[in-house]
Amino acid sequence: MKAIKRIAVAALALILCIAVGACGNSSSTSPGESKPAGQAGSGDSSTPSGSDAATVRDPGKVKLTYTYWGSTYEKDVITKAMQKFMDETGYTVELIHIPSDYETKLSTMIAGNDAPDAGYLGPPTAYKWFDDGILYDIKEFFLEDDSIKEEDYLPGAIGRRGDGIIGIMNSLESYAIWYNKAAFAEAGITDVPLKPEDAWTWDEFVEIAKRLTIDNNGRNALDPNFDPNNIKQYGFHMNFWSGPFEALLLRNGTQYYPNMQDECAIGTKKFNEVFQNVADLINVHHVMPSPTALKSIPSSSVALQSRRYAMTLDGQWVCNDYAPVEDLDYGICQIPKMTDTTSIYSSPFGVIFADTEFPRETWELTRFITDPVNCIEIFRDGLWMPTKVAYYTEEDKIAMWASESRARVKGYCEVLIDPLMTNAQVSGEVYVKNFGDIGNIMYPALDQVWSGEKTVDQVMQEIMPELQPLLQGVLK
Amino acid sequence: MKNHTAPAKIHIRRRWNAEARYGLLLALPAILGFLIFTLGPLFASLILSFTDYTVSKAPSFVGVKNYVRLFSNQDPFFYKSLGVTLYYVVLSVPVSMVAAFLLALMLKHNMKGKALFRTIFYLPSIVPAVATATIFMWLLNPDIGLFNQILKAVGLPTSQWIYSEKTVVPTLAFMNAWTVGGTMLIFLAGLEGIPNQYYEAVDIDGGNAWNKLWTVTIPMMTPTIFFNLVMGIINGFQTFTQAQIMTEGGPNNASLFYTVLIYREAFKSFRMGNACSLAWVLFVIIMLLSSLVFRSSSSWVYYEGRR
Repeated sequence: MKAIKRIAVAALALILCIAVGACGNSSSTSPGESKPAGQAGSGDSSTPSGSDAATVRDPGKVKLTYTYWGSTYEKDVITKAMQKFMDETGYTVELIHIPSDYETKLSTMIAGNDAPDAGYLGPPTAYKWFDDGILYDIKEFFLEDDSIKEEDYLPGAIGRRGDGIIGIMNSLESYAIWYNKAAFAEAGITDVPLKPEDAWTWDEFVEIAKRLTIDNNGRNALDPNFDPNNIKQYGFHMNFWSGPFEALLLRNGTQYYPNMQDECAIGTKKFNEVFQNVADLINVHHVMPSPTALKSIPSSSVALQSRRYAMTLDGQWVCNDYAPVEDLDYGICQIPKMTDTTSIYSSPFGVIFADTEFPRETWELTRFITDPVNCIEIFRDGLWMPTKVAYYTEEDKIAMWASESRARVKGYCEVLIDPLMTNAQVSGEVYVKNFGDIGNIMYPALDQVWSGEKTVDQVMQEIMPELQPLLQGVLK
Repeated sequence: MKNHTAPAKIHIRRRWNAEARYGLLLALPAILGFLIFTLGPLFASLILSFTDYTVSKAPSFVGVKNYVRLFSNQDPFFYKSLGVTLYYVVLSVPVSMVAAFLLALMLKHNMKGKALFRTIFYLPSIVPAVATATIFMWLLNPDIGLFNQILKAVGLPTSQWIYSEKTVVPTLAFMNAWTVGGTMLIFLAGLEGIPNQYYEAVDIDGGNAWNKLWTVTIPMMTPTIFFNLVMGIINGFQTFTQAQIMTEGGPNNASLFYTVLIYREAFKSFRMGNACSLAWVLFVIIMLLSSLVFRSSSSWVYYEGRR
């Protein structure tokens, strides 16, 4: 018996050691403790000649990890850009492609003290993690480098938090309508609006979508004998997440928090109207697939090519997916206006993680990849739009990334580039507090609207008590 | 006498010691695995359930705040998911128990190709849950899915299956009957264990098949039924894969199973402390229900003729 006891005690002791060891390890290097909120790294900024800068590192010893999401096309483009960076610097970059559950994976990496050096990060989480000291304050690099000026960038592209800087948007992404040219030609739609002032009104848009919606017997949705239960080609398509809806909200002159002010518009008449209009496209006009119908529709490039739908409202990154599909002849046009023609843009931040061993080299990487001078392919081939104003205003710079091509189709400049300079707003995810939590309540509840069981007004009224504690205004 | 027994005792003891040592050594991987990967995290989660832990920040102790948050209705999804999960358990446990029992009864008979059929009915249980879910997503698709195509072909009304709030949980419960192979196997083992003379006795008394089932098979099977019931309830409460893959808790959170909520709290909202408290509440619920079943068992479970 004694022996058993002894072994048992020994085993327990061993486990305790392991457990304590593991805990001790995690707490001692926990970024939350070692670097207080908002000050991660900024304490060193006064001594730029510290060990980091002074000692020239052997580039062969610099090993960075970079996490990102996106389609397989996006993976190709980023991999190529990184290869270029590695060739130029001699650093090693390990790319980790996380196509889904990105932040889940990232949070487990952080919990395991295995955070990457840099990567994409959606603005809501970026703010939270910056406050928790997970992200590096890149302000020191801004102070050192005279070539970076805030006014060079579009408003909102530099993520600020108090005195600190969270990151720079990798790119900008704006939204447009993408359509299959053959489908438009067959329906006799030749004149598509490229300039914001020419955008279809909502009623015109519904009419056009109806002409483009074809049932199995070849009748369109304007035909009295149209069969809404057997639709071969939907006129219109959009995904059911905040991005496309924010694009439409601005077209009705509203937002979660209009004009980034503290007054909340969620649940107001104008706000609900946008969602109801979309619901009517599904249930009243039968021109758009419901979330259920979407389950049997392939990915965007295939669906548009095979004409499961004739046009789609989506972010401009789809160009990167559309361009390689050879038999997809697609065009671009303006998003319809309800009362307004403001454009939207947004993007994940490129962030640096506070635990990085090589902040300076990681910063080099971040700058490299977001600068069209180094990585023109990412921009030219469709994935990203640049973050600097000059690339929207100077002809030669525009030509670098937006000359007409498979990825930058005719009309691209009128629809996406010019409006960004004249009338555009950054998306709510960049400045609305609790943006993610608000969506977690709102979008599942709206399922009842898409299925036609309830109206938007009913649903919004029902969820308002749950939303209320989350509506805490905007980040300043 | 004394002289004789003492060395023998020592001998036994020594041998026992040596054996125990080897036994423990050989079992050590399993024991260590349990302690490090099960017991350790179990206690860690209990401690974390009293903290505010967001992964990005070190946990800070907040007392019972997480639990208060759950029961005071500050979490809009807690009661909803509890209701959904209960509904699922109430539907799926009887359905799969009856299905497994009937299958076992059928497969017990001596017929041609018995082994083949047993294999066929067990096969779905070894198909990975994710693959099953993916196949069913296709079968259940309202537009192109096989089920609705068949219903249409024979002129019956179609269903939205997992894409409607009303039908999603019944559909998932029904789908669960697809993977009853394990339960069926346990029933089968139980059935094989019933001595033949009981059935012969019924024959002699002039009873029919129904009498055999009702007076011999089912009473003799109660321990097995009891075991499967407890396991079924536990598994039902822990259902995760189907909802996570097929519906993501939707539509409108109608299939937000409790474990899906835990996952969402932990890895989508990064409220680890809250997720841990949710997990412990689930643990207590399962404990209570299991003990309820155990207590009731004395009135309906027979062991060799004794209750």
